[in-house]
This record gives sequence, structure tokens and C-alpha cells, in this order.
Amino acid sequence: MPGKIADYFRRLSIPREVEDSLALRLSVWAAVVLSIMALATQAAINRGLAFACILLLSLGSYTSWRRRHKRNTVIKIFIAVFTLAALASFLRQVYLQPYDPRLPLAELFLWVQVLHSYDLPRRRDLMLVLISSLILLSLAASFALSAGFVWLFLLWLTAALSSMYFAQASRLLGLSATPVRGAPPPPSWKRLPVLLLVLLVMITSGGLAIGAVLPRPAFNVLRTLPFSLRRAFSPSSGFKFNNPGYPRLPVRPPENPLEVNPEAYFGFSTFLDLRSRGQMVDLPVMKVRSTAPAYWGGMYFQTYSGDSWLAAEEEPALLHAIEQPFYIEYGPGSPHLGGHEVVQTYYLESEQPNVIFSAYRPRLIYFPSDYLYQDSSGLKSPYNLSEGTIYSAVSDLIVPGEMNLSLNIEADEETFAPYLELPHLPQRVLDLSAGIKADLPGPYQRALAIEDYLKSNYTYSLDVDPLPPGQDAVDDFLFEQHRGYCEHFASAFAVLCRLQGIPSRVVTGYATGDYNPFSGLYEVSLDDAHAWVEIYLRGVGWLTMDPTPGFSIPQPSQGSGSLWILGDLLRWMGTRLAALFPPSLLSALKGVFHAMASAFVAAGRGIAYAIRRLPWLPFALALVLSLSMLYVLSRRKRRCVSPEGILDPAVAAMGNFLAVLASLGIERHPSQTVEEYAHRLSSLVPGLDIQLELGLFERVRYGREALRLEEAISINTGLKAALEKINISIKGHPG
Amino acid sequence: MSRRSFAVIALSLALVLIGINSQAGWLFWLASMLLAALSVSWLLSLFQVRGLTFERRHKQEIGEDQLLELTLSIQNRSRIPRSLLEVLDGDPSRPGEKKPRLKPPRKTIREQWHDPSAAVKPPPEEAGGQAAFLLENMPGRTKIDLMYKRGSLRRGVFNDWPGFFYSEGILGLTRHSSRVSPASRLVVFPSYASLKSFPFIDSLLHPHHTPHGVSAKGAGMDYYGVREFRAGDALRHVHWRTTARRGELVVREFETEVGVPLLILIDTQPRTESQGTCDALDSAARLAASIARYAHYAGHPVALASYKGDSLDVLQIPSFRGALQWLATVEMDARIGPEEQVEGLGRQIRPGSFFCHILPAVRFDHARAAAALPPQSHTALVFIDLASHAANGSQISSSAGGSAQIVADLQRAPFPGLFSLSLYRKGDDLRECLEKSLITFAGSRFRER
Repeated sequence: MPGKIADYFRRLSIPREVEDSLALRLSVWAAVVLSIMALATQAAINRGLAFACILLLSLGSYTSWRRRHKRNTVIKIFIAVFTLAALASFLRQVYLQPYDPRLPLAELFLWVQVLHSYDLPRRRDLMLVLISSLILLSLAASFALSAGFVWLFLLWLTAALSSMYFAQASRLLGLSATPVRGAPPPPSWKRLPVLLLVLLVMITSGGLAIGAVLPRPAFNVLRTLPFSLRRAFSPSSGFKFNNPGYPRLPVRPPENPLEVNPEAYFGFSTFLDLRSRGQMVDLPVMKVRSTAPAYWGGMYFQTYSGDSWLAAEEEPALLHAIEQPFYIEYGPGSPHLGGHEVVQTYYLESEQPNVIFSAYRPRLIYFPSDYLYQDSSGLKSPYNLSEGTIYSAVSDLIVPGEMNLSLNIEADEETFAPYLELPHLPQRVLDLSAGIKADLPGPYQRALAIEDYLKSNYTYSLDVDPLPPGQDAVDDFLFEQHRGYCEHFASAFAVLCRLQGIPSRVVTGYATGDYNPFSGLYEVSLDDAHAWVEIYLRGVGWLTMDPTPGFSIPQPSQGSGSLWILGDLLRWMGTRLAALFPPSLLSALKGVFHAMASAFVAAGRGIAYAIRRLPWLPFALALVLSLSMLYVLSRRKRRCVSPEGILDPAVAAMGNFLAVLASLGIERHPSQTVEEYAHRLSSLVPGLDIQLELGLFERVRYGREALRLEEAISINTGLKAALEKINISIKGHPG
Repeated sequence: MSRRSFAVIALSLALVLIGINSQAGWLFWLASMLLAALSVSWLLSLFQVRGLTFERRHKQEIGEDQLLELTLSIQNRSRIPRSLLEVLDGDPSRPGEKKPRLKPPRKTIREQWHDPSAAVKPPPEEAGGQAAFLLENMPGRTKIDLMYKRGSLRRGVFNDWPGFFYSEGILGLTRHSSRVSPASRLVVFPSYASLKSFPFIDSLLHPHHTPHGVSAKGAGMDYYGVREFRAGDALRHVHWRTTARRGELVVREFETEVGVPLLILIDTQPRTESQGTCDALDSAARLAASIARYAHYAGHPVALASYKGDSLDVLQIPSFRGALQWLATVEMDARIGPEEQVEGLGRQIRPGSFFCHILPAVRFDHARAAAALPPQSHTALVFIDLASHAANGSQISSSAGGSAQIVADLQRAPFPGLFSLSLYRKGDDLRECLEKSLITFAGSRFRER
């Protein structure tokens, strides 16, 4: 028996179903190489490793091609041993760095792929390699931050489609017999690219359509969020605020307005100078992966000085976490009624100040450091955030619509006194505040009234005159300029709120940015730098409000990153397409579109008006439509009907004849003429002659002639006789 | 939907779940592309099997042991080319097949143990079954003629057996097929052995036993005389020398022996105890064809008989081809037992004529009980061992004791009127079986093989 078993295993190890298609092997190899390149370009593995793997993989693929008919016992042992080693390395890495297992997983798959490539005798092995390459590509896709990934993805798709085509051709060829004569030639090499291109276009279009309607619920069960490698930091040196765009920034506002660096936002500082004038350039700052759109807040300003906002002067608390994440706690005076949990990961694309951006308000932070600083102006990093830094945050977002914000309870003035303090303000500002529906019952309603007033009466503009020395910035904005940018709107709103007894603070950070429907990331650039306001509502907490015209606080269930991506996709494509055309053409197109839309709306209104005035109109239209359809149908039927309007006996007899033959399995193909069909019948049933009946039928059917009685009898008896002959030939009896 | 399509759906769902959890947008697109590939494959496979015509050409009559040449004409009526399209031509012996079968049948664990190599589908000329041909590339508006040979045909008359178009949508993720029934008619004659002797007839033709045959004009081989040419006479029968001498067309006439009539009865009652009755009936038809051929060419008038339901169907064979045609149509559909079948023959068996009863049975005891021998006739019994024809031999025991037991049994209790007994088991040589009958009686004694 052991001998038998050994013999069985010996026979079993002989390569079976060996795949000889070189085209299949080459396309699978290309798919794997492309997936490795995708990993390398997304920085999931280093490029040296990727290059080495591609070399080893190529060598392995060549070896397995040459040795595909051999047992390769030594190679199999070698693969098994090294695969176990790779697995051990993976487990070790996961143990050492448990926060993001994707990198060790990518390396494990990579090595398995390389090792497996040395023994791929069968088609099934090659298909497994293709699936592994899909997993590698998926890993790369989970790292991909830009739309540029699409090119590698399309190349991989081409290679994968080629592989599937060749595998299918090879498989079917193996299952098919070879005809003695008449085997069609295999597809030429010229035709294959066309076929693949057609497939690629169909699949890409279908993929876009499916992707646009694929639901993307914001649901997160991951508890270990990504962050980059930790950096060493010693807390003994203390905290120092640093903005790389403003290297010699004082702690308090200088005498003269701060000179704006267009490549760095001046709001990330211990003060927000409202005298500064300038515009930011469109530089990429960061990409944010988030379960919901939000404003990414950085600095929180407490004190208004008349021309600037100042952060609270306090020593930041040092937070220490031996293991991630940092649990952020807030004082008893800062309750927060948590609403939606928003999970965010930040991928920085340029150097940023040591401010930790997050949606308000962060509860957990996964940060590449063992230390963080926290004070009332926000969370701070112990070092500048360099390009490539990754960190994550989990915040609890308040959705105003879901809270009972009509509470008529004012905030506790003593606890929030710093957020109600104001310098001496001109009387007209106080009068204005008193005039904006101060009699409304609740603080939230009053804040909404102020926001509405500012949005309705003031214009957003980046071109604002300098603030005259000694002039109050809010007064200047409200009564002199009547226009301003987000800092001015936010300041005016905060001041007016404080005048109404609502605690408020100005926040600087970044607006949501552009949602990229492919990568699923919010792409934030420097010109998304923004200022907004948070007001305090008792029983709710700090609530974000944005008084700047053209801006609104994003809602978790609306806009970018919502359940359905279709709107985002169209918007994204629209902005990309719009960039290709000159603005004049776009405005002309917009005009045409608006005109057409207006015309449709007017037509709709006209029809609605007509229906209201003439209720019978829809019925009349339906009647006309039905009659038209009936007419068309009757035209089609008339072709089979004799001039007298009755189905001719000859046509009926031929119809019956064809129906009986169809039931015998001798169907007339729709493209066959009756004569061709009769020819086929006579080849099946030798001696069958229905030429006379055919002639009579054609006279009636196409010549529109009426038959004489004897002719009608003749066609009937002739076809019956023919049917009997056919029955005898097929069934052996007349039927 | 194939297993692969379910795998693609599972993979897509996994990617979507990971995408939801990690908010990685590209994973959603990857999943969408996989689902799109599945949808495109589904649509392509559906489209590929439409808009095609299938015609089949072949000989209308053929022997069981011959190869049938078939030509399939496939026409793509649309302008769009087809790729990786499978054309399957059904097996005429199995006209009821509703699905295309591309893969070879799976091996059982036992078969796998004895031969671990992969299962291979044998070509249609060897094993029959559906013949599959791959059209890797079929341009639009073209017609392709595929010619192939088919073997292992079963006896019978077959009409309009199906063909299939089958596609897995180029990518192999989904599959669609369409069944077509092109008009076809095929008569498969049973195979037969060209016997050099048949002891039953030969021994009875001995002067002691044989009624003397009468010489008459006919279609025999021996020269009978000449006469003037008549319309319809074959030109090859023209006797040119006499024609030249007389100055008018003269043809030769041949004589024929009017022999002893032979009636061959095939028992067509289905046997409930055996699965191999169809095979046994085929064997019966082969045996009958062999005997009929020998007797026909020996100059005996041959009649073939079988029961269809309760009614007797008798054919006085006009020619051997006619006999083959009749034998091709014999079905296992008698509703009465062998004894009643023989009784029902009535006047078909004339005194002194030959009667050959071909009888499938599981055991010889059964055949013995069933073989009702008609009086005043010379009877031969051809016993077909049904057990050896059963698909699952384990369910049915073989003929008890084999031929030795049968001989011993007959010695103990001879059949009255039985002149010859032949035993046929599946796989036996027809010729040997009939030429060397198990037992041939001569008078009251019998001679063993």
C-alpha cells in the first residue's frame, strides 16, 4: 500500500494540462510587472525592491516556461521554504508595526508572486498569478492618492484582458476537436489589438457607469488608522510655534501690517492680522481621505484686538501616548454633543506649520510622534509637518439639522467670558448689532440672522483697500468697504455674535477642497485656506458657522463623498473639461445652456397652463397617438391581407404549411425566401416538387392577385400532398 | 453564470467592503471595473450566440461501424465578427440533449486513483458524443464549413438532433448557449458479420432435412438464359455477343433458388431487471442482420419480425438494404412476453420453415422458459446474455455457470424442436458466435461446439 501511495504521488507530480501559450504567459507577466510598478509608484514599496522583484520575476517566468514539462521538485521545495520565510517576515512586521498591515502585506504578496513565478506549468497557475496581481494592484489602489493612477490601472487592465483572452482561447482550444476540413484561421495579430481596445472601451465605460452608482456608505470599522513613521522628539526643549512660510513671525501682531507670502497662509500663527492684504496661490497642500466632508480646522482665535485676532496666551499641555492613538480630552467647560463620527487621514503634500488640522472636534489622533501639544488654540505638533507626513484623526461632527438648536438657553457668560470679550467698538457697530433681529428668542436663531445679514449685504472680494491706521477692522468692513474676504466676514460675524451675547471664536484652516471621485480624496490647495467661526451653544457645544458668501458648512450627507458618486464624478469631469476651454467659450455655452433650459421650462409651464385651461388636451393627444399607432400597425398587417381585406386562402395554406414544417424542426429562417426554403426542402426530401404551389402563392402574396377557386383548391391539395411526403420521409408515416 | 462569475462578484464585494472601510476611492473603481468586465462578458456571450445559422450536411444512411462525415455550415449573418465561439454538434444517438457539453466527464475518485492524469474528451470519431469546434475568429457576413467525422454511432433512425452555439464571452466569465435543430435525417444500420456458414441453416439443408429448392428466373448469380431487352433492364446485363449476332439488344437472365423461408423474430419486450436492454437490442439487430444476410444471399426468403406494442410487424425482405433499414427502426417497445410473441406469429411460420428467435435474457433459465418453440418448424435460439450488456454489471449476475452449465442443462432436459443454440455476450465476435453455435442438434443428438 505505501508503495502504491508513493506511486500515486509520483504520477500526481507529473505536470498535467501544461500551458503552452507563450502569449498568455507574456500577458500574465506584463500584468504582474505592472502591478509591482503600481506598488512602487504609490510608494508602498521602495523602487529598488520593485526593480529587483521585476528582475527575479522575469527570470522566474522564463524558468517556468522552459521547465514547464518537468517535475521541478527542487524548485517546489525552494518555493515552499522561501514562502514560509516570507510569511514569517510578514508576521514579524505586523507584530512590530500593527497600525497599518498593508505594507507588510504588499511585501508578502510580492515575494509570493516572485517565488510562484518559478513554477507555473498550468493555466490555472497562471490565472492564480493574475488574481495575485489584482490583489497587488488593489493594495496599490488603497495607497493611490492621485488620478494619475489611472494610467497604470488601464495598462494593467489591458494586460489582464489579454491574459483572460489568451487563457480562454487556450482553454477552449483544448476542449475542442479539430475539424478535418474548414477550420477557420486564428485571429491575426492585427485584429487582436482592435478586439482588446473594444473590450477595454466597453469595460472602462461600463466601469465608470457602475462606479458612478456604486453606493459608498461612510462606514468605518478600522480602529488602527494610518500614520507615517514616528519621528523622535524630546519634550524638554518646550513648544515653539513655527510657520515655514513666515520664518521670523512675532508672537503678537507687529506694528505694521504683516506682509503676505502668497505661498503660505498667514492665518496659521498666534495671531490673525486683519490688516494684511494678499492672495494665496494654487499650490497643493494636502489630500484628505475622510468619511464625510468638513472644514479642516487648525487655529482657534479667542481675543479680538480691533485689527487682529489673538490666540489665548497659555502654556500648551503636553500630551504623551506610548501607543497610538492620542485620546484628546476637553475641559468641563467645553461639552460637546457628538453627532457624526468622521474619520480622516491627512496626506501632506507640502511643508506646513506645526498645526494639526482636523475636523472639529477631534477625539482620537494617530500621529507620527509620541508627543502632542494641546491648548485652546488647537492641537499642535512638536515639529513642522513635512511633505509626506501622514496622520489620522477621528472627530465628532455636529450636524445642526439633527440637533435641537432652537434652545432658548444662553451660554454661561462667566465660563465663556473670554469668548465674549470685545475691545471698544464704534457706536455704529453696536447699533447694527442691535438692529439685526436682537429680539429673536434663541442664540442660534440670532446667529443665523447675523449670518444671513452678512451674506445678503456684503460682497466677497479679494481686492480690498488697506485698513487705515487706528481704524477698527470690523467697522471698516461693515461701514466703509462693504466687501472683504473670509477673515473679514468671520471677524464681523464673531464680533456681532459676541455683541448678541453668543460666545464665538474665529477659526483658520482649510476649506474642504476638491473631491476627486477616483481617488476618493479631498484635494486641498493653498487657496482653500479659509477662516470661519464657531459659536457656543449651551447643551450642544461649539458649532461651526460660515458667514462668507459662496461658502457653506459641508454636511456629512450631502455633496462630495456622499453615498452616490455620480454628482461628484460629473462635477469633477466638468471642472476638468472646463479647464480645456477658454472662459469666453464657456460663458457662451453656459448662456446657450441657460437659454435652452429656460425654453424647456417655459414650454413645460405653457403645457401645464394649457392643461389647466384645456383639460381635454392630454386626452386628445393620447387619442391622436393611439390612432397613429393603430394606423402604423394596420399598415404592417395589410401586407398579408388580400385586397378584399380577408386573409387569402393561398397565404393561409402556405402559412399553415410552414407552421407544420416548423413543428417538425424544418424551420424557415426569416432571411430565407420561400423559394430558397423550397429548394432546401427538396434537398431533404428527394422528389418533392412544390413549384406550382409556390407560383400561385407568389401571385397572391406579391402580385396582389386573387386566385380562382380551382387554383385555391390546387394549392391546398398540393401543399397537403407535399406535407405527407415530408412526413413519410421524416417520420416514416404520412402524419 | 459560472463559478468564475461568482468569484468575480465575491472579489468585487470584498473590494467594495475594503473600500468602504478604508475610504480608498480607487478600490471602488477597481470593483466597478470587475463588475463591468462581468457585465460585458455576459452581454458578449449573449450576443455571440445570436444571429448565426447552422446547417448540417451528411449521408442519410450509414452503418454502425462506419465513420459518418458531416459538414456544418455556420453563417454569421451580422456584420460584427465573433471571437472564441464554440460550435457543438450533438450526437444523433442522443437527440434529446438540451445543453452543450464541452468538458470531458469528471473522473470518479477510483478512476483518479488509477490514473491521476487529467480527464480528456475523446474525439467524436472515436467516442461519439458532442463534437465541439472552436471558431477563434469569425468575421461578419461570412460562412464557414466545418467537416468532421463521427464514429460510435448507434443503430436507429434519427431526425433533427440538436446543435449548439456556445460562448463564454471572450473573457470566460459567463456563458450562454443557443440550441438549434437543423433539419437532418440519419438512418444508422446495424453492423453485421459476413458469415461463411451458419450451422442451423447449413445442417438443415442436408439432403435428409432440406426441402428441395426450385430453380426459377430471378436475381441470382447463376446464368439462366437470354431474352430481348425491355425498358428498365440494366445495361450491365446486356449480352453483347448475342446482341451482335441478332442485331437487337439481348439481355442475360439469372436464376434464383427458391429456398426455405426463414423467419427471424427479435424479442423487443423491455426488461425491467436490466439496464442494458438497449445495448442488447442493438446486439439482437446485429445478429439478425448477420443471419438475414447469410440466408438472403443463400437464396432463402427471409422475413424479419418484431412486436411494436401488441401488433406484429413483419417484413419480407426485398433486399438486404431493406432489411437493414427495417432493423434500424426496431425499438424495445413490445408489450407482450416472448411466448405470446411466438404464439402471435401464427401462420407466419409455415411447417418445415426455419425460425430463428433472438432473445435477450438475464439468465439462460429465463430464456428457456420464454422460448416457446413453434411446432413443425426448425428453430434456432440465439440467446443474448443481458447481464453482460448491463451498464452496471454489479447489479446483475452473469449467466449462471456460463456455456458449460447451459450445455449440461440442455443435455439433461433438451428443448423439443430446437436445432441450434447460440450464446452471445457483449463484446463477443458476431461471426464466431453464429458460425460456431453453442449446440447444434442433429436429429435427437446434439453436437457441442
